[in-house]
Order: sequence, then C-alpha cells, then structure tokens
Amino acid sequence: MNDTSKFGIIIKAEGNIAKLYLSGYLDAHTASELENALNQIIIDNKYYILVNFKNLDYISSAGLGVFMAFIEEIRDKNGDIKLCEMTSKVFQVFDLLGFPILFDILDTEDEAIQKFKNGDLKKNE
Amino acid sequence: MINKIKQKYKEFITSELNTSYIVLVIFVLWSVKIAGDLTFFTFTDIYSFLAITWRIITSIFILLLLTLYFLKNFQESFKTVDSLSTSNYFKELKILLYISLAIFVFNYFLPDEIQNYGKIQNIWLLIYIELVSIFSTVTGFYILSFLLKWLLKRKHKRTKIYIQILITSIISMIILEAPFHYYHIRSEDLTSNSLLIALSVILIISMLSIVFLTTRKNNWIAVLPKKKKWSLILLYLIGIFFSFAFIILSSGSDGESKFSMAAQFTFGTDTLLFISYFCLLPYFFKLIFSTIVTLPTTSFLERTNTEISSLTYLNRVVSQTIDFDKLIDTVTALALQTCRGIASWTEIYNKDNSISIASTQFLNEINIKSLDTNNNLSNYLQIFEKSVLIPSIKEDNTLKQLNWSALPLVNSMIIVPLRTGNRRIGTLVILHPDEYGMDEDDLKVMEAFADNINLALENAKLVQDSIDKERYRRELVLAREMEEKLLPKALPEIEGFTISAFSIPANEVGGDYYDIVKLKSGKFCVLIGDVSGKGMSSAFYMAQLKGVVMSLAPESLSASDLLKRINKTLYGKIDKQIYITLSALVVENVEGTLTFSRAGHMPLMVKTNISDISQEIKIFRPNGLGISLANNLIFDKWLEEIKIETNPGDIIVLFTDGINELRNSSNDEFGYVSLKQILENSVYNIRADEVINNLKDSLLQYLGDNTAHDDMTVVVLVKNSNY
Repeated sequence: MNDTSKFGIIIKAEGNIAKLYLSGYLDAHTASELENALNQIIIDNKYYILVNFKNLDYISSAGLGVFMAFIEEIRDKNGDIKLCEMTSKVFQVFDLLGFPILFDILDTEDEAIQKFKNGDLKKNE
Repeated sequence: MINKIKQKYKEFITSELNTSYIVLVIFVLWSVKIAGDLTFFTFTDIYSFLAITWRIITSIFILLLLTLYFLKNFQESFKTVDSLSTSNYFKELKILLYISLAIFVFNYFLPDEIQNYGKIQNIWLLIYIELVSIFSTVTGFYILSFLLKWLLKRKHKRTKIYIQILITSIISMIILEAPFHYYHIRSEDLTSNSLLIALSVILIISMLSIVFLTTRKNNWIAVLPKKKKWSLILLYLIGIFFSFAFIILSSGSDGESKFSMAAQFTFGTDTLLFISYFCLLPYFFKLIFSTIVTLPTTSFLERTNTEISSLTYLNRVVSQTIDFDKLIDTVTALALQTCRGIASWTEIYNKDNSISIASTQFLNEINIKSLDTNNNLSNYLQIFEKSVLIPSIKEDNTLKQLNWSALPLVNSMIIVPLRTGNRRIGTLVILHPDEYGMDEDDLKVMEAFADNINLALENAKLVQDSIDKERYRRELVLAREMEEKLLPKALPEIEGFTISAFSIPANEVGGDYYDIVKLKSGKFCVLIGDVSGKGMSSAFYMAQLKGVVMSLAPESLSASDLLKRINKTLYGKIDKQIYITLSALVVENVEGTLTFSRAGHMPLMVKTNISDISQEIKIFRPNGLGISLANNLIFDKWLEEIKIETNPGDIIVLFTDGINELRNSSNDEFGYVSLKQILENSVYNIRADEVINNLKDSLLQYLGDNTAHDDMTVVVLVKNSNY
C-alpha cells in the first residue's frame, strides 16, 4: 500500500504551454500535489496546460476531481487543459466518467501541442 | 567634500585590503625618514630648520598611514565576538601596562645629554633614539585605540559624538606641537606663550571630561568574580601610576625630558603619548571606582538573577503548557520583564501568509497597526534570521520611517525571530524607552530565551498536531457512522427478483452509496454511487445526495430522468473538484425487463443463462457523464438509457470501483476478471444473498491482511426462476 504514496510531477515549458508529466499513483493523498502544481502554473499566468499521463499508473476519483477544479477558470481565460498519452487503464477511468466529452484526450503529446497551436493559441493572438 | 571623504573612508574600511601592505609602506617610509635623519646628522645639524621640516613632513605621512592601519584593525575587532570578550579586555590592558613599563626602561637608557636639544654623540645613539621614537608612536596609537575600542563597546547615546570631539582635539593638539619643534632654533621660549598654553589646557580639560563622561555602563564589572575584580583594581592602579609617571616625566620642570626629546623624532608622537596617558587617567579612575563599588553584590547581579529565574520559569512553562496561545502570552510578558522594556508583542505568520498579532503587552493591535501603516515593519521583521538589537530606532533607516508618534515613548527595540522546526512562525518584539537602553547582554539573554521559546512552541505544536490527529480520527469514526446510517438497513421485496447488498467501509471513509427508491410510477429503482474523494467531505456529500434522491425520486419518471434531475439540482452547488458517479437501474416489470442509466459510474454486469449449460457475462456501459461534472444541457445530451431483458436465474451486479480496484498484498487488482469468475461459478438457482456472501468471502480472502483503501459496495439482483 506504500506504493500509493509514490506520485511525481515534472513540469516543463514549451513556449507558453506548460507540460505536466505525471507518474505513479494519483489518489486522494497525492491529489493536493497536482493541485499545487496547477495553482502555481495559474499564478504564473499560464493557461495552456498539457498533462502527460504516460507514466501514471493509477488515478482515483479525487485525482480526476483536480482537473474539474481548474478547468472552468482556465477556459474563462481562453486556455485549456489537454490530456495525453494515457495508458488504457487510466483512460478507462476517464472514459467511464465521460471525460472525453469534457476534455481533449489525445494519444500523443505532439497531437495535443498541435491542437493547442491550431486552435486555442490563436484565440489569444 | 566631507561626504566624499566619508565615502572613500567607508570604501577603504570595508575593502579587502590586506593590512600588511600598509605596514610595509609604513616601514619603507620610516626607513626613508631615518635615512634622511642620518644624512642630516652626518652632513649638517640634526636640529637644523631643514632637518626638522623633513621630519615633520615624513612623520605626517607615517601618522596618516598608521591611522589607517589602526582604523582597519579597529573595524575588524568589532566583527569578532572574541575580540570584545572580557578576557580579551584583560589581555589588552596588560599589554598596555607592559609597554608603559617599556617606556621607562627606554627612558632609563637614554643619555642625559640629549635633553634640551643637546648634542647627540654618535650615530648609534641616533638610531636608538629613532627606535624609541617609533616605539612611542606605536604605543600612542595602541593606547588610543584601546580606549576607543572599549568605550565604543560599552557605548551609550552620545558616545559617538564625544569620540568625534576627542579625535578632533587630539589632531588639534598634534598640530599645535609643530611650533615647538622650531622654537629652539630661534631660541624663544614658547612654553611661556600664554595663548598656546591656554589652548592646550582647554583642549586637555575637554578631553579629560569627555573620557570621563564616556566611561559608562560599567555594570559588566559587577558580574566578574571577586578575584578578577581585585586583579582589575591592581591593573588599574598600575595604569594610574604609569600615567602619572609619564605625565610627570614628559612635562618635567627642567625643560624637555630625555624621552620627549627622543619621541619628538617622529613629529606628533610626544603629544600623542602625552594625551593618551592623560586620557587614560579619568578612564582608570572611573573604572577603579566602579570596581570598588561593585566588590559587594550589586543590582546587576540581581538583574542576572531575574534573567535566570525567568528562564527557569519559562522552562517550567514549556514543560507544562501545551496551549500554544497561552505559551505565546507567557513568553511575550516574560521577555518584556527580562529586558525592562515598556511594551512587547508577538506576531505570528500564518500558513496563508497573513499575519496575526498573537499577544501584546502594554500596547494593543491598533497601536501596532498605526505604527506600521504600510506593512513595512512586518516585512522588515521577517528578514531577521537571528535575534537582533536595535539600540536606536532613529538610527535604523527602515525603522525610523515608521509612524512612531503612535508609540512616542519607544526608542530602542529587540527583535526575536520564532521558529518551529525550520519554519519561521513569528516574531517577538520588545520595546524599550531609552536609546541604547538595552545592550548586548539583553540580546544574549533574549537569544537564549528564543531557543527555549522555539522549543516550547515546537512542543505545543506537536501536542496540537496529535490533538488534531485524534480529532481527525474521531471525525472519521463519525463519518463512517453517518454513512452507515445513510445506507438502507433493509431492502424492500421486489417482485420477480431476490435482492441483496453489502458495503464494506474502508479505513478512510470513501463515500459509497446505494439505495432502493420508488419512482413516480411506483417502480423500484436501484441506485449505486460513489462520491469522489474521501473522508468527512465525502460523507457530507453522500448525505446531501441521499436527501436529493429522496426528494426527487417520487417525481421522476425513469432511470435517466432521475439522474438528470439529480445533476440539475447538484450541479454548481457542490465543490468543483467533487463529483458523484451514480447508476440507476429500474425494474420495469416482473418478467425481468430493466432500464439502466449510468452517470459516470461503473458498468453493470449481468450473467445470463442462455441455457442450462451455456452462460454469458454481459457488461452494460451506456454513455453518461458523472454528476456535477457538467451543466444539465451537456449532461442530458449525453445520458443514455438502455433496456435490458433478463431471464430467470440471471444475476445482475451493480458495484463501485472499490471492488475492481481492490488490491491485495502483492498490489494486484481484483478486477473484472475475478468478479466474472465468481459469477460464472455461481449455480443456476442461486439466491442474491448467496451471491453476496460468496462475493464477500472471496473479497475478504483476496484482501488478506490488507485493509481496503476504498469502500466496497455491491448490490446483486437475481431474477427468480418461478416467473
């Protein structure tokens, strides 16, 4: 059960896109870490957020809730959160909840960045 | 101009320049000077006008460089605590006395003939005289810097200005020495020039009074052990003896003394030494008096006692007080008392970066707010890592800008940073009415105080944490009890089906929900759901959900209608990061027709019997968003409702994600597959409660010694075979 505490976030920037690389277990205990990271990004006035789930092993309801907590504010600022590279297990959790209706969930990071470039980024130019 | 010099001086003093370079230059200059003197000695007269002018000019350069050297050293000595210690004081005092003694030894070996510009016999005598001169110059500088250092260490309000006057006087006196050098050439007795005499006397008297006035704050003597006090008295007595002896020696009635004659070979030295010993006199006298007075116990010792007793008291408080606020109060009051201040306060830096005034003594929050209108003070206070003494708020560039009219009596303060662990949690501020009213000793006591306070705060914090933990534990128990009460105690009989359910709460309350309600049509609707997150908030949202369901179900027409109504009611009313997954299964008729709608919840699993030997497990996963994830337009648009026909013996399983995410000790998930297996192994005519029991057994067995970290809830319906 100790494995659940292993959660990590690496934040990188590409242009005005903030890229979050999640790894390990994202549950009620570790959700606050993601929350803080997103908070910081918003404080820095960055609203194009890409979340890469490639190394995320598990996500719980509390983890999903974090995205819901921020999406409204980010979209109000013409930004977006795009999710990508989910493992099938993690995608299943998002899919069950109907997240694909609410969020752009993409197979690769490039697709997500492309989507930012084609659509959302233009709105602010 | 003056400012420019000041700035240059500051740059020099703070520069990394190695003092040995200065010493080297002084050495070279002195050698040049002596070489010149030797030339004059060999070819003309050592007391010729030209020779005297040569000495005055070279000496001025030497004196200037020596001044720089001593200033630099002086600055360094204030940087180290060690150099300001009492033991170092004794050491420096002893050195002073040794070199004073040396003066008399030097004097003894000087021949009488050199008095009154007598003839210097040979070149070796001249060199000896030059050496005596050098020694005298260095001694003069040593004595003066000794005096200034220890006067500044125990400085009071006017020390700085007094010392400036003193130094100006000394420079004036040295300049006054110049005419005397030339006097013998013109065979005039300048000692009878009343103007010069009067000027010298005025300067000397002013210097004496300045030293006398500046020698204050002698209470450090009081704490010395008696033995030290006696040795101090002895040292001072010797010092007084030497000073008098020197003054008599150099102002002998029979004109210039031997020693003065020698010293004069470096211009200014005679005067410098003369003044230095003069200044030592009031200093020694005053201190010897202080020492004698404090030989018996004095008030200072009592003060040390109050410090010790308040520290002891604090320690007792530390061990007894677990109340953080009470502790802050005690600390604020004790610190004030120890430093003899007029007011004090403690401010605490909260985790959300706000600042609260936790305790005040003899002032109130309004005073502090009006003092610090722009938050400059609280920002300033947070800078300090260590306890710091501000001896005069008028001299502190930041503090003097505050609105001190709010606290007109305050003139100095001590700032004590408070910590628990590595976190800076606040600042204790002690205010004092007098400039230089608190000293290094007060600061030291406050530093010791701060260590104790920090320990105490840490203790209080630990206790608080464990109380919080206990509170949290109790909250969990309450939340679990609450959830258990919200779940149905007995399930209704549904015609055509047997029905059974269980919910195993996790150690952290998970927010699982199941219920069976009647819709408007009177049809039964089985609900299963999960509130996101864990703990107390989940339990509350679950209670809210239960309330909403109970009020909406009797008006709802179908499974999807109920879910839509629930979403419409809850969307925007609960925290953004909270959502609910909920499935609704309506039993349409006794023949086994079901309708199913899913709001983001786990799929429905059905085991159907195609024939006695052939069976199939079907997963139903109609579209639908979780509740409160989207407004009713989007939610309603995406919510599907499907019709499922069941045959006798079919097993319908509704479950929460606690089941398929259940992990065992090797961290594998239980998963659909295992759930399927149990269903496959169930016999044809099994009842719902039997399925539940089998499931429960295998779940618990699978879990082993692990505790589930999410609630596990299952509702099972089995279609009766008698219809």
